[in-house]
Amino acid sequence: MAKTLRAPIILDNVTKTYGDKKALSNVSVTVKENKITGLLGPNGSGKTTMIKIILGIIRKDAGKVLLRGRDPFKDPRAREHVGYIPERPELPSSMPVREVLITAAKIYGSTNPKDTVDEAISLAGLSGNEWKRFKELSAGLKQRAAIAHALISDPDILIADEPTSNLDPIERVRILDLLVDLNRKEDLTLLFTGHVLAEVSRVAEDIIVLRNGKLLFQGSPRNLMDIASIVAIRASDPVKLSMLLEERGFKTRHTPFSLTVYLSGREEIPRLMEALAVLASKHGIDIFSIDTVEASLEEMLRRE
Amino acid sequence: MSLKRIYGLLSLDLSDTIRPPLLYFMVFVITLLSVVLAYVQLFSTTESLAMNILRPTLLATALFLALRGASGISQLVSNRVMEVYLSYPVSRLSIAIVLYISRVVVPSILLITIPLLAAGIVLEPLVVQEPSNYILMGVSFLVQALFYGSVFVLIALVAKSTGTTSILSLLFYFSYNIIALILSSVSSSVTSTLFRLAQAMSFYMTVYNSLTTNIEALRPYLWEYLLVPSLTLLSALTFILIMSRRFEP
Repeated sequence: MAKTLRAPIILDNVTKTYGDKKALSNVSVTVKENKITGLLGPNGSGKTTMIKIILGIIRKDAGKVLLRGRDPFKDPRAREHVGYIPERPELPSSMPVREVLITAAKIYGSTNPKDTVDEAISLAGLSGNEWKRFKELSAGLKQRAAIAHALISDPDILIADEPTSNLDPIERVRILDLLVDLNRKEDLTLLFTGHVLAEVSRVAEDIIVLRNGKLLFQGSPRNLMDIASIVAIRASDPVKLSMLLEERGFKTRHTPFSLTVYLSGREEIPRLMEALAVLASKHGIDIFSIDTVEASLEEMLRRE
Repeated sequence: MSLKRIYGLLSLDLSDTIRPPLLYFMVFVITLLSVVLAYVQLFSTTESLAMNILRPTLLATALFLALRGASGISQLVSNRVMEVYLSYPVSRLSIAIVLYISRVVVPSILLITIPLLAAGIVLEPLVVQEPSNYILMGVSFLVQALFYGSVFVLIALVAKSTGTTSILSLLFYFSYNIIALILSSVSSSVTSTLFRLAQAMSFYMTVYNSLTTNIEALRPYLWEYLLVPSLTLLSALTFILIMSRRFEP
């Protein structure tokens, strides 16, 4: 597919409120050109709100949003080469998927809608199912139909809101791999949301983390791991050790058999080691093992 | 904004609005009834023919606009197809106009004109005597249908739920007509303001009175002609304004 203009997505101090609840609070992020960016956060963190604001589906209350250099709410040209895969894909079921896609291709201004649709169907892996109505498709095929629909815009930017939700593990991997392939073959800027850090960090080159509508982090997956260091300790008296570490300013959680310490970064590990050495000898606590573990998103968010 | 894009969106949305079988069934039934009525009943004027054919047709049109037209907009919101529409490179103003045409204007035209044409063909010798009056009566019913439709789609934008939109729309339709009936009943004479208001609430009554009354005192005032068309325009513009400026699915 021919490429025209590629431009990033820019959010500058964007705020969105629903009633009393701030869905987004002064969020400033930049989505880099031709990169895969993962947008992470628990339910209600503001991911879908952010996606909808980027696409101009809903308004922002304050701040500035630029999609391909234009305000997406006011200027529909911002969405000209932007594909969108909604959280739970839905297309009209009044006609076969192929007919819907051809009509949508006309809306996107395709000069040869049939060829555009055939290519999108092939890229999305929907071949053989394009004459079914959308409601007749399985969850995985619905996702592929939504991807085909997003591709007919001849996108420079592809925005996918939880593209793997409601899918079985095998289909999750397939869909994510398909998106990565598209990013590589078509030079797309891909922004997608997810819940699972391991899944997102497997493919994303840049990660944005939201919690309660606030930006927690933007950077590479490696940097995210660095700030999310967690140390698991097995000791003779984890309860007492936990209390002593808390007194020294560490955040901990314990069970009768083990202790978890949440660090704000890997640079805190030496300080922890020093504290463990001092406390173990002073209070006669035996330490059996110390392991650093990869933080899950949930653990990282709990620590914050 | 390319007209081709707007046409594409219109055809996409129309495919949902006029999907079989509801619209086709309603058009078939009311056309059949209109033809039967035209055959069995004696009509002396084109106005009375149009009035008798289109009164039940208007009820069917209002039902369709409430149950498929307006609630279809709510359904677009609840099944998130509206998000897909809003993600297209088409302005919100164009989307609002497309929805209004697809959900209100096209069904109203189909449901009003097809029975009117069928009855006109059956009683062609009567209709050709005053074809303009026959057309005017048709237009007046169409305006009344557009009025109901405009209010219904406005309700849909606020309610955002298919069931609530249908119930509130039907509630509005019946309340509106009951109020007109009550006003008509409590008015002291056919020249009183209350009676005139009751008549003006149905635009086709105003047009009918205008076309058939020779007594000057009974002829409609200007405000009677303007009431329903103004309310229609106001409702339609409010729908388009909310949809293009403030609406969030």
